[in-house]
Amino acid sequence: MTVSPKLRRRMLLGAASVCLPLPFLEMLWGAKAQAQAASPQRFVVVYAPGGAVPELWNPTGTGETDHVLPSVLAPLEPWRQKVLITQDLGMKVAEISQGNAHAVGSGAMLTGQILQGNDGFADGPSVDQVIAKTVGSATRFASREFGVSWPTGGGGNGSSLNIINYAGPAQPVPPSVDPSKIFREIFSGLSTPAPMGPDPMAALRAQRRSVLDRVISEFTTFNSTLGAGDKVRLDAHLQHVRDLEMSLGGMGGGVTTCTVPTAPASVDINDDNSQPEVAKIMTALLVMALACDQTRVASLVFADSIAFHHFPFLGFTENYHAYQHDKGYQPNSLAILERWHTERLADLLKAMEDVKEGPVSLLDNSVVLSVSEISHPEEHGTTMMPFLLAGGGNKLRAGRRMLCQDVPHNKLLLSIANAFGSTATTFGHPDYNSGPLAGVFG
Amino acid sequence: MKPRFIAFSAQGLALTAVFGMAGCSTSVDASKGRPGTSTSGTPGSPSAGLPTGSGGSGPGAPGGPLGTGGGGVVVPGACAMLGPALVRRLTRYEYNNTVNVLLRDTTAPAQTFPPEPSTNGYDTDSTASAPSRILIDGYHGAANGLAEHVVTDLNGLLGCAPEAPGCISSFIQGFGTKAYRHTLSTTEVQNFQTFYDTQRARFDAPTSVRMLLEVFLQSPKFLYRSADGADAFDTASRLSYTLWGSMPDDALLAAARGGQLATKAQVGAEASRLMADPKAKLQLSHFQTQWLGLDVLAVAQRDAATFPEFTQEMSGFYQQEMSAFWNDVVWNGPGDVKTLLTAPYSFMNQKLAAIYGIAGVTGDTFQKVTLDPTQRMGLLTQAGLLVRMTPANRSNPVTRGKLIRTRFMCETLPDPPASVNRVEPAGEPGQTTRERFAAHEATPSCAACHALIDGIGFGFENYDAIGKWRTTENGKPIDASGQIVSDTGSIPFVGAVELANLLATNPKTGDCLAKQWFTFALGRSARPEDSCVLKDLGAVLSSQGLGVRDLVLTHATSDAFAAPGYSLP
Repeated sequence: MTVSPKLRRRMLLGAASVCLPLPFLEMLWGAKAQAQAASPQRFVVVYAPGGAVPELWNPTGTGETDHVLPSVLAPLEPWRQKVLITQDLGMKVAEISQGNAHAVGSGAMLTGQILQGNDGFADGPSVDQVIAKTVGSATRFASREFGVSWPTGGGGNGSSLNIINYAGPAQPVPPSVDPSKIFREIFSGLSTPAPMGPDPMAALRAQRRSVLDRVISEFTTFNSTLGAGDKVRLDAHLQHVRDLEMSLGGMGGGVTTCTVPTAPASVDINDDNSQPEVAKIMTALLVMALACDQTRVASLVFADSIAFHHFPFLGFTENYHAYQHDKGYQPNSLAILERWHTERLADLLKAMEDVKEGPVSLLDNSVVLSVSEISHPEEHGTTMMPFLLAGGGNKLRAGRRMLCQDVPHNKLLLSIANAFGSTATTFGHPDYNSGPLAGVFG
Repeated sequence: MKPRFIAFSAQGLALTAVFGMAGCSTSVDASKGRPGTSTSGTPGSPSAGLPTGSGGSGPGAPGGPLGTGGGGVVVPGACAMLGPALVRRLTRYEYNNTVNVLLRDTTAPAQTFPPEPSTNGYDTDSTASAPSRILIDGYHGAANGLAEHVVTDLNGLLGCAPEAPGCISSFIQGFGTKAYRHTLSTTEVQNFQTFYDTQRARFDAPTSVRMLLEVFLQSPKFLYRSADGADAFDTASRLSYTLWGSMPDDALLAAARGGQLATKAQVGAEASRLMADPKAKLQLSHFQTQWLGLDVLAVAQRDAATFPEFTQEMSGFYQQEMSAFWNDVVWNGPGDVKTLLTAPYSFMNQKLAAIYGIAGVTGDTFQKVTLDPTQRMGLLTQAGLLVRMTPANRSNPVTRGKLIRTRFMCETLPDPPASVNRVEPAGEPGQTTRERFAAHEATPSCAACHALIDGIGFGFENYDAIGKWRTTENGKPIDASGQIVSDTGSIPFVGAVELANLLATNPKTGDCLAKQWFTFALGRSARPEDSCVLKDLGAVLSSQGLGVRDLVLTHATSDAFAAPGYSLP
């Protein structure tokens, strides 16, 4: 694969498209920001490869708070007040970087840098590692990187297709992928500081399970009357309902603060069908590593950028990359795959929200940055990047959507680094390092 | 304008006219013999015609065998529908309409469900994919949210106090009949009563009713509609979801219960009643939106420097224009193909009139405006359709020609071979669109297919990317000459007005629109054995020259409407 001529497919967003906040929201955020001063502030990167179908990711509407979330982002609707969408950022540096478009994007998105040579490693540190240098000395681990399906292609630690975190120029920081090993490294010898309280959600979960039991009976009767073609689809439906019921039964007791997790059950991380389970385990380990203050900087890497993994549990037969463009751009299929990742992001936010830290939550004390290495899946897009922030840490001004008019994403990376105490005034490649992005923190 | 007969078929150019059997191929003569009750050896089905790939049967339904059985009436020799009977999942649109009627919901919870796979541009083919876990989670979340909301007024919902004797049982029967669009059996009622009693022993009444509703809303009998030809309730659902995109009303359910949907005349009477309801207007608008792919107008963007007129609100105006014109022709006018394609008027407000270069329209209110007949007539030259056919800032003969071929001529164009560069020719600064796309003609691997597509698309060169009339591009005069290439020759024309006249006078256009409705209404691609009913439906619009409403009513009383293999007397 070579770098294809990049199509400029930027949406032009009209006169209201100022990458600036509106004044009345300032007041709302003043009060909330004060509540979080004492707790440690955390930074989390979430990466899912493959970009996003622009029509189904980019919110519509013109205002700062009345934007409508299309289907790929819809799972974030409950988290609307804790999400800041930095819509229409450009990833300019990718356009001057040499190599496979996915490697270029993987290198550029957190470092704001080009790859060294053609397909080499990124030429600078990633924002999470810059922050880890600033805040990391306070905890056992300066940062932890958690991988779900990694690597799906070849090359391992040696390929820039597989690396998003960099300690410095050409210093890759690959994710850990073995749940048991991660558990041992972080949690062995630790004990839960306070006993768990009663689970306020237990009754509701019991009700949901009773309902689904009855729904399963309805399906069993109904499906037995069907012809073979219908039965295949309705049985698939029934199986999902069963899985849903199982997942309700399997939920742990409501976490209220640092709770040292039990060792994760054995899971075959090389089986694509294990992804939901691995994602769940990694999310739980990551959140508890933060809640127990073992680290304040973490990354959740769903897969490397070549994305040769499959999603059989969603009914897809080809690998993820095939739907992006290897076998033709298939936006309807991608919408489902992308949405699955958004749901996992929502799971992470939920798990962080469930950890209470005084009057606020772990999520309120965190900045979560969700990124992908390209925008338009077919075109390896470098405009309208599908980037968003979540949480409330360091006075993140969430609950909004900013229209960023194609400014280089380096500005966002600098703003995040500054919010965590970095005194840098530029970030990444010198051609695109023109100061911070106003309106993200305040 | 001389009426000329054009044989729209591209088979001579190695294109597979997958979609268009009876309507689009010169080789079909479906009038000779009607298919009987066997699917094999259907007369008039050309060998190239079997739907494949993009056709109706997706991975979950590999052309499955007959679905439900039952004792329907099979009429040998009638124009009866064959093929698999498939239960259909409600679309997001149908789900929202249904819970709006059933629970007075206004939040449209299905908006957050994953989009339906688009088959032939329509969302109605629920067999195109197996339901995903995301969808089931969506049903779960929506059921929980809806139920939680309505039990806040428990007595209002139940119509009685929950502890009153018989209250829950009567609610189960009343609500259940509507939710399942079917009278509940004694066993069904008893199962729900037992479920309620079990929950009530552990939880309070609002919680137990909420759980009851959550079961209803996640049951297959709510989420799917079945296709049993012998069942009057299935006929009622088929009528309401086809004509309204929503659940049957009380009168329709009563007609089913009372045996009043047993003949074509009775079904026709109910269909006429449903067509008089405003919901039918919404449903036909919904069809128009999908037929022409007008959803993309909502996200259309243009370069602000080149097109300062194209503000965010314009996408809404373009949609309103298309919708106002369609509604006027279909509901106030004859609704026929000729009027749709050649009406000398449209609807616009001041900002849209500026695009048209028409003076004297003021304010935001839409009004009927007479068009300059040398520049505009009917659907094809409406600014909204021109924007819809143009993906970006420059006019594009490929996307324009493709829309005419696929949506007005019912041809299926193959994707370009994987080996070719799919990127639109960049061209040189100062070139016209025509010059830019000359690359297609000059490249042998592109030329054959693009002659079909670009040949029509070039006819729209007088309209820029926001639908404005233009006579020059980059200082050079516009050449809007085009040709309709087919295996029987080429018809030259100049400009979209002449193209509209050519299409309007060709019977194949009516056949195609009928086939579009058929595809939307049945939720599947047309098959060779459908040629008989398609011919009858097409004739409504073509040889009879009637309108879209007549098409809908004719379809509702045709054998294409009954379940596969069944025919009402």
